[in-house]
Amino acid sequence: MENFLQQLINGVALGSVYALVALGYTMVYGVLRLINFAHGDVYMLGAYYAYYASAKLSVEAHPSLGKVVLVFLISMLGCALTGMIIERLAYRPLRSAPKLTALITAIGVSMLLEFGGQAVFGPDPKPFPDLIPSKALYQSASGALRITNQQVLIIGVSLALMAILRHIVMKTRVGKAMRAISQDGPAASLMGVNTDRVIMFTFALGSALAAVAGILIALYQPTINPLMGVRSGLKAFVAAVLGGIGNIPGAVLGGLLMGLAETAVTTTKFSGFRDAIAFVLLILILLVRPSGLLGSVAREKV
Amino acid sequence: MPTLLRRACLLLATVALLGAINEGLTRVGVTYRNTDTEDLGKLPLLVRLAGNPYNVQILIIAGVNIILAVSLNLINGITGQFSIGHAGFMAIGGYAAATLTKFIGPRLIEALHLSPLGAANVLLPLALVLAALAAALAGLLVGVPSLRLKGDYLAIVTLGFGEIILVLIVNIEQIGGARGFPDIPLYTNFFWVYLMAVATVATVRNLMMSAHGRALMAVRDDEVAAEAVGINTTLYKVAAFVMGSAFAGMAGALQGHFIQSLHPNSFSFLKSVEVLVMIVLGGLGSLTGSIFAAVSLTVLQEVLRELPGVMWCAYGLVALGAVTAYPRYTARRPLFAINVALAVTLVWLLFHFGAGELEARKQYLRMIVYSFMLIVLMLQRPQGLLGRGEVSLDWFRRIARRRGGKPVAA
Repeated sequence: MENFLQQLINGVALGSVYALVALGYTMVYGVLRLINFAHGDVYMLGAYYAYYASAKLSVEAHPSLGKVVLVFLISMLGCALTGMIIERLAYRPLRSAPKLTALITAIGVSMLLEFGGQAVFGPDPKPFPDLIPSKALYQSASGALRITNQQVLIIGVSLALMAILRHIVMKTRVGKAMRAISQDGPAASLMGVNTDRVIMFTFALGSALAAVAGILIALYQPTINPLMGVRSGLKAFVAAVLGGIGNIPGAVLGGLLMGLAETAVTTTKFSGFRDAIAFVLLILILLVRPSGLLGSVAREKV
Repeated sequence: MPTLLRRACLLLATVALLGAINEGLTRVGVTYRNTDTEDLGKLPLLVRLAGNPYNVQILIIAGVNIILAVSLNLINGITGQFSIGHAGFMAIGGYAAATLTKFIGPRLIEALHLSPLGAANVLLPLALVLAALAAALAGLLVGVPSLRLKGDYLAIVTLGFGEIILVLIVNIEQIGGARGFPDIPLYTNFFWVYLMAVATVATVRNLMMSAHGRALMAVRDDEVAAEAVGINTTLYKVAAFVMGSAFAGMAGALQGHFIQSLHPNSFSFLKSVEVLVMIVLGGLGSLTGSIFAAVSLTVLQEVLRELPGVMWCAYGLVALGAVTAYPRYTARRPLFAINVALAVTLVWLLFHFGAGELEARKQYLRMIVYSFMLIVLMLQRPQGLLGRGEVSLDWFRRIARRRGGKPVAA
């Protein structure tokens, strides 16, 4: 029982990180109908920005809560800027181009960030600074159940960010514009929505969430490497599709499901198949519900 | 039946020609190896090029890449289904074929009393057939459920499938797992690679010319309209997908029996992207474009592999300068900005790390320039070099006629 609870918490913690990244994929897909392959690499950049920021601020030598928050903010801002630059330079010129062209460009941007990361940061894993030292908040008598402050932090921060995101999307003007564009881009544009600006805002928002996800996972692991975004990015993307791409609650549901499934597989003797479970799950769900768990079926008009 | 006769003659002629080239390459290679190093310079250039085993190796890899590019073009360019898991099917074919030749091969050789040459010429075709069948079966398994979905979903499923295959391979100890499949017999030679390449190109070309090929192109151009005129779109999409997968499997088998080992890492997402870049560069839907891009990218990658790290920076800067000076280019601000950004990065890398450290990281520099070129290609010329056009003898004739017809200035 305790073991089950422990795995449940591990799964939810991993799942909430996936969910944060998945949100970025799903929002961009919602407004642009584009799989932003570079999103996983923005998540990697988030971890690296935090790495360099905390080295500059010497957080490890003189730890303080203010500095940790500052590291988070710097990384979020950096990633938001990166996301906006990517959108402006690589995706905006292709707004009216065929889908395939945009998709290949996205793959190109992702490769550029991966190999650029390896050239600039160096290909070897780096130890991530201990911004928030791990300690057990609760430990059961048998020792099978151990909840750390980092796990609580991951889950708490993710939930808070999702709540903020929900508020932005549902209650603000720009959120309304985002929803309008994802329903019908040209019509939204005709109604006076500045499409380009809203799309840029969407990239900034998604990238900032990815930055937080990157730092949280880096705290948890605690190493970072320039290719950390490849597998996690793919899985987060699968999570977004699982929940129904373009659907924000769907991304959260998909992320949590994915984290739980992966943790569950790790405890069985099939732990070697940990990286495959995401895709097996995806194919199974797409067979039954081709538009994902919460996705709506788009009827094609002729 | 004259057409049948003509085709038979063509087939025989191809086999004879490829066989002769193969024989020639072997003989020149043997002479080349026996010649003193001092005398090498005296050999004719063609012999020096053809006799160098390294050049022959590049030629064979180019052949494998032709098969891959043309088969992916059948799925992506001609049928319009976006598949990014081609390396997965390649892996299936490669591993299936290697399993056959390594575990059943020796027994067959003993039972049939085959000479080493005979073994290659009996076992390789068997392995190729098995590889094609295995990959086709996998293609069918993936294609039937996913091709009912539209657009991006297929891309995701093929990508996921490629990952699943890799994880499966890593977890099967009998075929080497994560360490790779070692000691595969060397059966692939020029003859077999190019016979298969010709077969792939001929099959896809003839398919394009047939009614079935027109149906595939109709699916690409407008799926709803194609369905409305009575084309079974799912059937055609699955058929094209299965066929493309089978060819990819064959390419995997050829590569495995040439490099003599298989490793899961060489069939990663990056390999799929490499093939994708080839067909995009050549032009989606253009066979000659795919062939040209496959050969030139293979040769280019091999030639540039030797380039030192500093040269990569210089190369990137020169390429940047060249495209930036291009007038249509300067008018497009995003492209200009990308160039400037890359130039700054390269210069920064050069000064930050110095030549020595740069040398250690040159493989990444190479890939940076490579991915940058991909982005610029997409922004500047998304239809690739040839678009959907083909280069043929007719094309040259037309150019010649146009040139001839031009009024000569007095």
